[in-house]
Amino acid sequence: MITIRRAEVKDVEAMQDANLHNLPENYSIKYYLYHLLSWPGASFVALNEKDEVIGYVLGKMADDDDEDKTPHGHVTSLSVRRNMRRNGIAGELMKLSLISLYEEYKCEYVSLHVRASNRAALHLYRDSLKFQVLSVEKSYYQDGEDAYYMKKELKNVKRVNQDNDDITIDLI
Amino acid sequence: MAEVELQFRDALQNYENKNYKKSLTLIDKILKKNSLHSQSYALKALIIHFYHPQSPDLKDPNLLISTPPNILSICNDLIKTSVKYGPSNSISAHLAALYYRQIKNYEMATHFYTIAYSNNPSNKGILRDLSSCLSQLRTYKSLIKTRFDYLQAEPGYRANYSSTSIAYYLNNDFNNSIKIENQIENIIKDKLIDEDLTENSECLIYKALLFFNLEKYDETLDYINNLLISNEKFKCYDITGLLELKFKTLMILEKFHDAQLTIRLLLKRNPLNVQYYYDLFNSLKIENNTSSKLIVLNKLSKFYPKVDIPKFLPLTFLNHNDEQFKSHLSNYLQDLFKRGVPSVFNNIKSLYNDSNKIPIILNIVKSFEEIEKNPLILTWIKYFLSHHFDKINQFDLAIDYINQSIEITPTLIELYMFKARILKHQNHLIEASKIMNDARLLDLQDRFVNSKTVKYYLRADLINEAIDVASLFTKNDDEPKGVKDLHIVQCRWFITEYSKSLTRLFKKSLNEFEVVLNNDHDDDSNEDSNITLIQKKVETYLGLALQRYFSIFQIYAEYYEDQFDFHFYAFRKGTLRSYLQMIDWEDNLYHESLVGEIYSDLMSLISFTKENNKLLLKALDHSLYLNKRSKKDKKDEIKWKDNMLIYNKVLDSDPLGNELINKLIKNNELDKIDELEKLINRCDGKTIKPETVYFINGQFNYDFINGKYVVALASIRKIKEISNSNSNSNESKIALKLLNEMLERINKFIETEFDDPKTKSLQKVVKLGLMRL
Repeated sequence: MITIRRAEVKDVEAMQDANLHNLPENYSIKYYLYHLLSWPGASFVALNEKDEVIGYVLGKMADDDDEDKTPHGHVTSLSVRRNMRRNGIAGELMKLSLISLYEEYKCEYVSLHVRASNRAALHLYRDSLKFQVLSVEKSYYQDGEDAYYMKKELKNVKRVNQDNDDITIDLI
Repeated sequence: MAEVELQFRDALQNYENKNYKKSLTLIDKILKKNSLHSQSYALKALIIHFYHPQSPDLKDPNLLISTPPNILSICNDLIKTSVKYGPSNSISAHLAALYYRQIKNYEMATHFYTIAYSNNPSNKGILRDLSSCLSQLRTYKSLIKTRFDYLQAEPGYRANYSSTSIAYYLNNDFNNSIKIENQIENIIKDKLIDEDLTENSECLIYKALLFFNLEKYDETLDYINNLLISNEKFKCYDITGLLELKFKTLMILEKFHDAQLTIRLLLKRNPLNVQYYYDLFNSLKIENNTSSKLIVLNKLSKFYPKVDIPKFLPLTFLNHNDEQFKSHLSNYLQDLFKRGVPSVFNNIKSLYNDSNKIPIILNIVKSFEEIEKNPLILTWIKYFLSHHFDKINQFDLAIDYINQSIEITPTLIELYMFKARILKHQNHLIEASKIMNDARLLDLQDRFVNSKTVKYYLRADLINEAIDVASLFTKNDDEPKGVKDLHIVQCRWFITEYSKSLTRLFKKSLNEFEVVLNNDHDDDSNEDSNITLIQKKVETYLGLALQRYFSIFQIYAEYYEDQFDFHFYAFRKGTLRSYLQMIDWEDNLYHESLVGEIYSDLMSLISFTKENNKLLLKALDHSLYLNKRSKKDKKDEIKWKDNMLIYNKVLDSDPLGNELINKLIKNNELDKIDELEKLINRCDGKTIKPETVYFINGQFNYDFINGKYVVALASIRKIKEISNSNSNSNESKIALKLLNEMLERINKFIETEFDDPKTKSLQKVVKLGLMRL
């Protein structure tokens, strides 16, 4: 059983650990602190029953973009442990983060980079979450790989299942 | 202005522009003529602690201190001189404060900032930095005054109200925190702009927390409700946060109906948080009512059809005898298998805590196995069964099932990864690492399987293989291998496994040395064993193991250090709740379980070296066998050492840890571990170590190293208690293992022959104490 909740500062080490296990782009703990102490609502963690972090999304608002002053966000990093994949965790993490960015930070669009070879991620962003590929950034990554630069407008982002539970009716 | 002042101003300017060489020249010029010029001494210390004219590129001032001790002592002397000639000079004191801040000595930095400030109260920068130092030191009493003074000096910024409010909060004075919040709210009410939206939102919800902490629950509730219905632009946008606090408040007020509605609103926002389901049960008062819980979960699974939790939860509370358990489980598993989820076993693993449920699970999955036609689904079913048998320690069956699944679908990485895992559980560590590497070769881009391979190689003590594989995902700019980069990116898991492996290799080499040594006495025919190479191995593995353990603590030091900038930054952002979370996290940092494990490992390693001191010193004595060494031996040794450097070098100075051995082992200078002990004990005495097995073992060995055998008995008593309590838990199993190690160690001390009467009587006392345990 997996649970997803907002990331708290006490999760930073486990997030860093998950990142180091899974992804080639790594960050020092200060960068995680910077995210959580700037946009506490934008990052989420997925936990297993032992309360171990098995996935996370690290989201932020752009705070140094001089070209575009409309409030917009960026997904810094998203990762789910390989042995927990195909449970739809990455998609749920993303959805929660996008809604928070929109609700709490008035974020109008979100952008991110994906490795050109990462087909699973591309599928998630493009097909499931309806991101658009804006451009290919040549040698974006340290190892020389290209990145897809993707973007999603958040104007109509909504929580699903919002209306299913009519709280005027008692559960029992 | 006097000439000397002009010159000094010039020196200062050069320092600020990073022209350190020029600045130093100017300082020396000043001091030649005015040897009493206090400020120059302080500036000199500030510069030379990281800038050495002989090797100007050596140090990066942004790195956590790595200033050599001899330079530190020169700098400290310079500061002393500076103080002597200008005890209350504000500029000298400010420079001294900056110096101590650079070397992370916040006590001294605070001391000098205080002097600098009291002699120059108009310098607000000093006051701000003083507050950050006080926060870093958790000197909260003084913090109220410095934050408040800063607010008086700069009342035009909300950040300064926030930081003052937090200063009161940290002193548990929530009433004054609220007062400050009210003040700023009144001032800023009509002046808010769009850029303040988030800061304002965060401050509003922080205030709700203040009411809650004051136990003014009715007020908290009113306040939150007002925020929730607000239509204003400047309101609280963290609805989840508000609702969560509202739920807590309602539960305390025993307003269960409203609480229940609140938690349902939260579920609408995020039905994936299991805590909400438990909270819902509590608010409905049905925690112990199986049938009601089933009804509720059934409804929720219709509201949230894609969510796993309401479907899974019944399995946790339904009794294994209950027919419903079986049918529910069957449906649940079937659904997951159909969807091709690889982690089905992980999803339900917690059910194995109830041993009665295990055979039922097995029967259901076996019945699936019999009728399944789809080869991919059958693969996952067999994969599940393999997990099942591994979990109940029937490893042969586990291997059997995983081989069957590999036969059906030979291309799935997961299958090989799990096979490796079973082999690891069977303690076939080398074979396990080979299979894991096979899995890795199927997907070279996936870092997860790469990391697992590295870990398995390290478990098998194949360090070079591990480092080769790890280096495929590191930045190896100036180094042949990636170990240094793994230190830079704070990769704790790697360094931990690496240290443990080095420790095992050290012990193995020492053993080898002992064997050769004994043979040597017997027949003098150990021609083919290169004893000096074995000596080298003993030394290098020990040196590296010690160094790596300290590296992990260095990472924790960085973690602790990293909060510093946020003592300022968080208030600019207004993220007050996150700031409080950060303070909590940092306060508990050294009591984390990984710290306990490393502490235990490191202290055990050092006490092992003390225990085997005679043998070890012999192994470390190079002069002993030098003349026995053949030319080939010599060549082999150089080759081996070069290779060790290529793979393991992290630090330029002392790359293989020889100096560390000299200090800790040969000269018995233990200040490094005393410092560690202080960190873990938290010198302010506010907290004590957690009483978990690893912390207790670390404590035992620390006392042992220091010859405090009687004190060490207390740890034996504690760990004995844990090993006796519920014998099935992992913790008590580890406790038993550690208890035996402790007893062995303490008995060895008792049985050793000593001439010294003091030690002899100590032995008697310890023996008596041991019998009384």
